[in-house]
Amino acid sequence: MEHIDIVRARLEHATGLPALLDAAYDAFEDMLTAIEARQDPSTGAFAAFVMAGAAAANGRNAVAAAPSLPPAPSGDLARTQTRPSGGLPAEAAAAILAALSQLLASRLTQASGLPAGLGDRVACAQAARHAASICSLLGGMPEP
Amino acid sequence: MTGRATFGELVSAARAQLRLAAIPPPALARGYPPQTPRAGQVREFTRGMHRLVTVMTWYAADITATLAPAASTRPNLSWAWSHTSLQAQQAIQNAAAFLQPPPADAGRPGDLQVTPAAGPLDAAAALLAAGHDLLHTHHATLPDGTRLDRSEWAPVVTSPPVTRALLLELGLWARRAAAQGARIALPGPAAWHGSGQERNQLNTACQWLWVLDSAVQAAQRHHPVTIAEVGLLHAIPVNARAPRRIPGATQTITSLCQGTIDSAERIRHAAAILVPDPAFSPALTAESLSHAAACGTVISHNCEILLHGLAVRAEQLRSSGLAAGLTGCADAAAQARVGWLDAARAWQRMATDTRGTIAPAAAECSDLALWTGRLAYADPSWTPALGPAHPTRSADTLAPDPADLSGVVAAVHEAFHTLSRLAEADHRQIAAAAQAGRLLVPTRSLPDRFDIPAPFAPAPQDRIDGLLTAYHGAATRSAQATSAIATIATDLRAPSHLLTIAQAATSGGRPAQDIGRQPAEQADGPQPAPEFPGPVERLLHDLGVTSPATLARAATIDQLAEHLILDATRTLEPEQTDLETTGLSRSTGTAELINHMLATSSPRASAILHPPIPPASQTAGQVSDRTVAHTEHTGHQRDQAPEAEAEP
Repeated sequence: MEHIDIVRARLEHATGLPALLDAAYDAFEDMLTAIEARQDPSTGAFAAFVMAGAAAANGRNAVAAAPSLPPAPSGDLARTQTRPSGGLPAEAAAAILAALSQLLASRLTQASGLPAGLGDRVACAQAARHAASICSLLGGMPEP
Repeated sequence: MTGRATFGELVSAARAQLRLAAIPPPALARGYPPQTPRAGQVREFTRGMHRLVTVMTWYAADITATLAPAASTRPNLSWAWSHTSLQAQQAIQNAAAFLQPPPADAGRPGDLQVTPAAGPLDAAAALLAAGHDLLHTHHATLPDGTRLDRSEWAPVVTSPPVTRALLLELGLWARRAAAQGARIALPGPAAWHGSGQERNQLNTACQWLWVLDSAVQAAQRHHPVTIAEVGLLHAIPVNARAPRRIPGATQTITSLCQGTIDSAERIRHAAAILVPDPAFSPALTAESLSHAAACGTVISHNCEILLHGLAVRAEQLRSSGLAAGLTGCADAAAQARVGWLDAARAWQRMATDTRGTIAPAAAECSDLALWTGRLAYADPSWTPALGPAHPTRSADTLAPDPADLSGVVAAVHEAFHTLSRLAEADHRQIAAAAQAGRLLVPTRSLPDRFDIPAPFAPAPQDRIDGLLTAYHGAATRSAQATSAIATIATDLRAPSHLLTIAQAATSGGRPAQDIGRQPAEQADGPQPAPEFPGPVERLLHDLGVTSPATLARAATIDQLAEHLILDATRTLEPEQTDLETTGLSRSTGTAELINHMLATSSPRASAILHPPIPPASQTAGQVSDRTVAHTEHTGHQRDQAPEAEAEP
């Protein structure tokens, strides 16, 4: 989960729409990896993580459709999908992911109001909705 | 299976009316002023009979449309019933030809003014017309005649087994109506007032109704319709779904089960009927399909919990066999959950060319996840969201009474049946979307060697294959879970066992289990003893004779007379047998004898009848092509007037 902290820092400090979208894409990807690792039917959080996984993938796809998303930086982002996930219990991991998705929803909602192109605004709004959904599913309180 | 009006309810009410049909008008007329004039009683009854027979011709046409074409491809059983459907259609048309449509009766049989003499018949006609309409709510017909399914029941309605059950029903209605009509038409204590010609025409129409019943009973003897198939026909509901709703926090187990069933049915309808065109519809999105797959995972998981709970409860109730069966079902549910999770995860690497839309079926999957979750967990406000610990519902509260087990099993069965259908439907959609090049992947998710200057790229074949394989697995495992639960549902006589029978009916087979495989007894019980005594026996009844031995002797004499007539008919030259039914029934004695032969469903008896000469006033449009052919053959008798009978 340490990579989540890095992504969180990138989100907090991203300036400009391209940088924010770039950080948001990576945030959804990292959340997806962490969520998938915790889809364990023996825990009471199984349903929440399963539903959150679908939302994370859809959020990532929404960001990917934004015209201002910069091309992938060199280094083959496909490799980053298989980062090791931490050994935190499901509830603790859920709390970290809920906090990240809350921040993500907030930043994307702000971005959807910026004077950008329609494609970017729609992409940000859709992605923000999915981030808010993840936040709710994992026990967080998305900002209205 | 549903809380809606069913075909069986309408048919049961119609049957009850047909039992009342021969009660004399004065008894029925109370509260229906003005009373029918005595002289017009038979005429009015005949009008009612005509309306009833008209409705029956609608059914006969539908039955023939389904069964007759099947004969060319499937011999044996289907051929027998196909032949019977044609015989039935001809017989009902012959009966209609003897029932003069009254000039004032231009309206539809379902829109009737109930009058005393024909009240029960009119009521039966109206109920059966409503039943006909109910069956037709499941299809739509395009201007070019193409028939479209409008519900998941549509293939059931037109399946051969259910259509054969409908023909069995038609035979029953014909028998009931014939018995009542003939009792009224012929002299005797039950006779009503009317002219000889009116009574003769009515009696002859009744004879053709008996011919219909006789043909149906012959088919039933050789290739019986089963109790289960009749039950399936009766269970067909009107095509209207329960409104979409989500569970409240104060639901009972019963209402949660019903909510689960309603929700499951709504999803099946959406998945089968409200299908977006996968080649171009913007409603087909990764968002929608991945949401449905995630819900499928949660629903499977909830059902697995429920099945474990039921197994524990069965053990508490000292039903070890049932407990073992339910544990096996829970294992199958776990496998289905794995399959759906694979499908959900496959979408995490995929996208589609449209976004932002959730299809109706996917949207309603959230509801089913919620309904099953409220059943499975103790928290009455359970949602899939993470919250305080979610203890599962205790086994004894899930099914406090042994009889409650079947309700929960039915809910789980419906849920898995839906998941099975949903996985199949989504697999088809995805395959078609892939064919149309609509499956994509984010370019960023591809290795560096791909240089694609766009946010999305066509999905590599290995990812498409992986996605389709995952859905195939979800469909197979859901079907296996459905099959396992269906066995339990059948054993427990859970309402959902009809799903299995319906599936068998539409796939051309019969359920593997024994339930309901016994032959149906003409749909409403054992074949009754002949409702019509022969003329000698009837005369003794009229004289007040009650001695069983004497009445038995009279019955034997009637039977000997019938055999003599039948044997004599067989030895006649072809030109001599060219007699019309009305001619054979010209005297009361022979009419009674023929009625008795037909009412006992002697397969030989109907051989002495010949198609009718439609009354001169019959318009060309009311005579079928087949009747016209017969008319041309026997047209020389057109001018013969039936001999008038005296007023009773």
